[in-house]
Amino acid sequence: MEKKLTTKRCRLLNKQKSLILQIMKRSLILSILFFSITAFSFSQKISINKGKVSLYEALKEIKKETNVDFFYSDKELNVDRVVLANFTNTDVVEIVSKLVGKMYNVQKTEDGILLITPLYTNNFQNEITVTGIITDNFNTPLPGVTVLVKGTKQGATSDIDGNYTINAGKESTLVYSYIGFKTQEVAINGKTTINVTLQPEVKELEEVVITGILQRKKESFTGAIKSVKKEELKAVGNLNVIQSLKTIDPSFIIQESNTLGSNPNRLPDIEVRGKTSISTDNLRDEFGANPNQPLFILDGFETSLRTIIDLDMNRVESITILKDASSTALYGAKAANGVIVVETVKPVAGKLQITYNSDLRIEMPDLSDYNLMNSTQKLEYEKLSGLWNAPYDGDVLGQFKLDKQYNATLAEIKRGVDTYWLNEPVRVGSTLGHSLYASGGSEAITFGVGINYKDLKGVMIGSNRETWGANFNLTYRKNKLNITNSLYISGYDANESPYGSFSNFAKANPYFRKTDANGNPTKYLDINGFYKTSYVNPLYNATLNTLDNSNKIQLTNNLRAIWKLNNKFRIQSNLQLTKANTTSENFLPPEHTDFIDTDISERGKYSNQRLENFSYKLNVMASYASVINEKHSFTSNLRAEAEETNNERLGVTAVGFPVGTNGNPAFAFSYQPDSKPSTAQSKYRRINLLTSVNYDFDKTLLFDATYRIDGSTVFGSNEKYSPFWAVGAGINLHNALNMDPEKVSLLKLRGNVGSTGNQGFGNLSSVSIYGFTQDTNIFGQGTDLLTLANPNLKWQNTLNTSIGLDAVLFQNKVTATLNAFKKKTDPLVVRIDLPSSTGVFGYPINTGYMDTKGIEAIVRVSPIYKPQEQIVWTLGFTTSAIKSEYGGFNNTLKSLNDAAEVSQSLLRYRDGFSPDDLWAVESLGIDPANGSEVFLTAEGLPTYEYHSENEKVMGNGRPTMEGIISSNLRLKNFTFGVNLRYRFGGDIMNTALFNKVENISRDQRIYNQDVRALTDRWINPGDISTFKSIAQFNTTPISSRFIQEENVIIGESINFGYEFRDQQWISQLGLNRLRLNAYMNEIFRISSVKTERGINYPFARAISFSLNAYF
Amino acid sequence: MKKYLKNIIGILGCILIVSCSDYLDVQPEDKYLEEDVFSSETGIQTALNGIYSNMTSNNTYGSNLTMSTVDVLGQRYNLVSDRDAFHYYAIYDYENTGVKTTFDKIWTGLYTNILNINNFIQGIETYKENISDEKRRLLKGEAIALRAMHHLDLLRLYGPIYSVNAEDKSIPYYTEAKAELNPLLSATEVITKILADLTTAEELLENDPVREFGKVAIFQDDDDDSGYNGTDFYRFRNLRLNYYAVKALQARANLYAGNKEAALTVSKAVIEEASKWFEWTPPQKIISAGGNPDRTFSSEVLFAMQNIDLYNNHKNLFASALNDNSILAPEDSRLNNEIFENNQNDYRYNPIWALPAVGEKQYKTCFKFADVSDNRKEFRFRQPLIRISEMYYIAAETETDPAIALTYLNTVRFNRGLVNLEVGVNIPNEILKEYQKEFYGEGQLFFYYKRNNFTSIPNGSSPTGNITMGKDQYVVPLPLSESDFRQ
Repeated sequence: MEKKLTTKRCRLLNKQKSLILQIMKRSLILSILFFSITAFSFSQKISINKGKVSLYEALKEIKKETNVDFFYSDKELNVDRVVLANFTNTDVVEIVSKLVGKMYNVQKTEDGILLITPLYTNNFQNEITVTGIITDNFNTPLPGVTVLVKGTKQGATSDIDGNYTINAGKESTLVYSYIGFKTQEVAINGKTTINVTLQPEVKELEEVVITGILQRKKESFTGAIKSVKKEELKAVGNLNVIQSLKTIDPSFIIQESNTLGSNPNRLPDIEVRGKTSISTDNLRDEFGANPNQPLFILDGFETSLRTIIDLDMNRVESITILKDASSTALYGAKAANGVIVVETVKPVAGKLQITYNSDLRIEMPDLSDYNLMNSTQKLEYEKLSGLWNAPYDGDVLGQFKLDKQYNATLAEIKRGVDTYWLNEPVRVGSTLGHSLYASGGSEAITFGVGINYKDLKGVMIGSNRETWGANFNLTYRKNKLNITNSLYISGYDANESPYGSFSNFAKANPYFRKTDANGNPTKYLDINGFYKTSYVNPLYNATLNTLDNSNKIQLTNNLRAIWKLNNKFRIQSNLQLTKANTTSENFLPPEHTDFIDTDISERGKYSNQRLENFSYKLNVMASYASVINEKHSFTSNLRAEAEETNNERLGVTAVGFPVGTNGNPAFAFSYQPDSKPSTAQSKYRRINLLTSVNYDFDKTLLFDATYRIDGSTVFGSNEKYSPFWAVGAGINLHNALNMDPEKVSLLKLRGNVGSTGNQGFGNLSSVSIYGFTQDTNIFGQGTDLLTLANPNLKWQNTLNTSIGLDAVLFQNKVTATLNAFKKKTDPLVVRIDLPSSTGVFGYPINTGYMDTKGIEAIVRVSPIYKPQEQIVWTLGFTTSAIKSEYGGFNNTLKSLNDAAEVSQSLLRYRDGFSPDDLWAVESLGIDPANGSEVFLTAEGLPTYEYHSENEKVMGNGRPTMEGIISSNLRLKNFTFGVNLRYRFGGDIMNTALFNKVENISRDQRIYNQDVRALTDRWINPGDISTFKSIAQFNTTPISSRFIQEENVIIGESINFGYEFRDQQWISQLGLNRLRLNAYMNEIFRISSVKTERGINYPFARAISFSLNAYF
Repeated sequence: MKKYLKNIIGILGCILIVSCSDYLDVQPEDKYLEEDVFSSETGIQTALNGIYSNMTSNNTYGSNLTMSTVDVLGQRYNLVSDRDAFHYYAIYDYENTGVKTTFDKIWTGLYTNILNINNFIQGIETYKENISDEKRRLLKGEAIALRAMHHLDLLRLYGPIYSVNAEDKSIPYYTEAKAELNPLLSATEVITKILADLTTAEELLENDPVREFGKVAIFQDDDDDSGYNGTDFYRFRNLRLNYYAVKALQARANLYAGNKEAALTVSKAVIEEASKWFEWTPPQKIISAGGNPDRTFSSEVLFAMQNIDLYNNHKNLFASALNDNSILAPEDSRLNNEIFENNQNDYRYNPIWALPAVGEKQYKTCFKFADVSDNRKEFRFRQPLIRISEMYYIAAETETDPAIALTYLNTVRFNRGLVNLEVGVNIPNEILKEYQKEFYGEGQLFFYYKRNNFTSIPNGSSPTGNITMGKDQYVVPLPLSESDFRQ
């Protein structure tokens, strides 16, 4: 609902004064324009035919025609009011009487002046002053609401905080009206305070659910959606919309990446309502996306996750998450994982409005999960693990050398060398972002111009992400036509840290010194030349001029035309053109330790990769809405769309650089030997036809139906088209049962079922594809069969069933949304390797199904709810629980399971089990007698032997429940919010225990490890310990010992806000409002599992501030 | 209003119906669809050439089935140390991870190419209008014969010892390009299919230009009447599985299956007809060719591959610069005293085996696949797969009259610089010696041992003594990528 923040000029007086003389006096001054009398005549009859004009225009016209002049007070007479000025041969006085209405007396004076005075008189004795606050149904104060005493022109408007004051008779009735809201009447009955909550007005094509494609009447919509406004997003955090969204809706989950941590350039894995696909990497082609990722829509067009993450948060007007069939069927083939619809701020007509936002973010590395040895512990560990013992007894000379080195190391430790390497590559990253937006214009032409810039600095030194953007919107409205053009130019420049992987710092031994005597990092870590070149100093490479940069520039133009034929029918067309260029550059100088063993002519490596993208999308939609007998309301839409996407990639690599070079490829010795330029081109086209009908009966019974047919080059030759559908129904129980609106203002039960597709797989083809072979011979080049066709491949279809309940109770004090859903994807598309004699590998087949069930709830309760005093305290609770199950595979995915076993993955594809189940052999622990692990066979017998056949489900990676507990307090201009994420019941594999406590090989002993490798491992017979003998180096397979239940509470967002307004200094600065926010994100984390997090890039805790100024 | 609606729906509908199908017909730009490949004769030619090109992969004929793995199984090389790269192959440790991987690669590589061949055969039939009938017969014949050859080598490696367990389940045989698993067939069934394919191929290759014009059959500027002029693709028939090579494969397969009569007939036919085109390589091209000796006797090769990696493989496997653990080199005294019987006149001896001029090696290393100085030599990069001498050996082995048999052997010996054998020699033993000398780096020796089911063969890793052979050594187990699905 758009609200105009400009205060309407009020022409109505607070106090009525009926003394004509006074009016005359004032009018003499005010209406001086009309006071020149040049002619005079009685009983004049005239004809005017001006149609709809303002009263002022009408009177002016009459004056022109008759030379009659007028006396009135423009405080009492609204001359801007539009009147119908069509009269034929009518007396002037009669015309004017009709024009001004029955509330005025029109009197002709002797000198030919028409005196216009109000008819009524007021009883001053009965008048009292009424005050109050006017809010909307979200408790937001509504400024500019017109308050009128019924039957009079006596009125007032609410101020920016929704407060109003009016004088009225004790027994009179107040009328509250505001554009887009239902007009409400309240009898005064002697009360002096009247607070009013205005309900939004439901009109055809107005109060809508934003689906990105069609607009749906909110009240009659049967789908499960979550709409989030800009203010809510900004209240949680200021990093990006994705991060804020996860705090607001429980079905929106961002998978934490233990390896990539808080790398600003990381692209997160996102799920809405669980998975629908098997996400093996070989299922997608190069330009495909994660098949479990939701679809992102920006201003009506599909976009990438990258674009959404880089989007300036201040440009966002609202975000809608579409979760179930009723809403996602609109997007057909790609919507199985839900749809995230982002709408940006649209320019508003009126005077120039300028908004400035500034965001400051400070990120600090969170290293608290690291539990590494100090130098004394490390040496002790090395001794116990036998690193300092000669390989065989009697090797006296060998032992002597080892003892000597041991003592030298010990001497360094005694000297106090205890380097804390983890601090070396990290910093406190500070980010400053600016965003400026101006909009304005007349009713016919409105414009909006914005620019934004942000430099996000990560916690590892040198890693950053600079994003920038500019947008220009222009809207032209004339009669029935509305044309909008939006141009966006945006880009980023991202650098990875020259320090490389954080894990190298966790590996470095604390008893080594960082630098030589001069303070320069040495190339190798060593004491007395013992390790020679085998131990690289992780700091060394950072001193070189390495480069790992990618940058992008993207240009998007959206052109939209809406043609409203009448109130019921309209046609809309959109055209989007997008062009983007991405360049990635990588340079490793020849001095880099990667090239220690490389031939001198190949030291140093430069690679450059360019990705070009062009796409166009065009759609046309016709909408028809009508109401029959005031009870039957229909909306229907028909929409056709065509789109094409072109991707082109070219990459080259050059090697062999002189020492000290800057990485300019001109200095390279040659291309990389035996390589060729890497390249890929693709062109996708899609078309679809969508029809959708919506019906509601008396705002009580609701019905939705959507049908969409998708055609795509993605489909194989036999199945180019694929249909999708959804039907939904709902009932507004509060209307049907005539519930007391004081107690139940909304109680809606809804349900829907439908099918959606999943094409995040890239171009799976049902035609055989050939490619050129690498070698040539005397006959020239050859072509080779790359993929064998599967002409019968069916596309993944997800049958989505969802039911839900929305409730608003006790006048907004309690709001609740409950959803339950079931998604069945049948069949799945999986690429598998067939038995090798078939010669067919990575073959897409249809097999099995995946069944996901879940519930989610969002409940908000306000124990203190005084919006009129601006004191509201709301407690929120969101939760989601999801369960998935595979079925129907039989043994078709054996090759995937075998591969998973080899790569030590815990996931298996087995009928009746969940995609999140963690498979491992059950362990009985460590035998105190010999320090070896004892496993349990499938028959339940203990054994020292590990056999993968004994593996069973030892945990489930998906939390039993996950959600947010929040508390939000508004106290006048001050807001305070806490959002805590809880997650419990999920199991994780503790990689720190597996890799850095237990599975330390002989060669890895020289690197630093988790301190538990020293303290918790078996040393002597009889030791009761969790981890195998400190002197055993055989590879430990994954067993149940490493799977732990993780219960965690995260301080996801704690925020404070204060808004300055009405203060004098604010207006002196030329400001309308000024808002300050402070946030703490991911500030703490309490977990039941102690493991290293952020292996290649540490996690960050963030404190941020944002400033919003409205001019 | 209704009029508007109708018009609009009508327009939308028309746009969609008319343009959708065309709009969605997008060809990938960086790949070729099957129909594009087979849309022209050139495309069909490149598809067949792709099959030959795939054969040069080190996983299959490029190295494993010729120079390295299979020859190691034939105890060609001294791999006594467990640090030697091929040690575990030489002791037939088929459970060793590296060994397993290699045999998986051979299996997978051959079958992948079989899929390729089958897709080609289907394609050339489906799009037969794009190529003349005569050419189609030629190309299809080659492809079917290649299919038989691939299956024969799979059978020889993974199949049972034919002379003992011919009814044992061996390998699957594929004649269609589809994503379906075929059952394991008995060795006799496989041989039947191989021979059937070879017969079909022989018929299709009836008019192979090699029979009329020899191996370099047609020149571009020839105004001959063969119908193939104007393209190089039908020249160099010795680089293609030509008519004679198909016949030679028939002889090889028949002998492997114990069909001695058939083997004799076919091998004699090849000797009679092909000798004029595949003449013996004269000694001056071997011994006195300076820096350009033709060490593979290329003129005698019925079917060779052009392998761009040939000299790299030599560097990586045989070059004297390699360290002792990486090089494939025979036990020196076995090579000199046993195999070549110190016969310095044998063209296969000194030109191919030599003590390194530089370096520390005290034993002879193999130069058979070493590069020559003149890079314009036609025989460069040619890797022999079937040579005419094998036909003489097969004829000698299957000929019941020892005198005639001896003439076959002596013909080869004469052209290798050796004196004639006298009547009364142990002919099978002489044939064995010939296999040992003739097929270095060509993989045939192991199959010879296996065919004859020798229970003991000379131990390549020791100067004296034998190694006991049996089912466990001769029969390579099916790789896990296959056997896993067959339980």
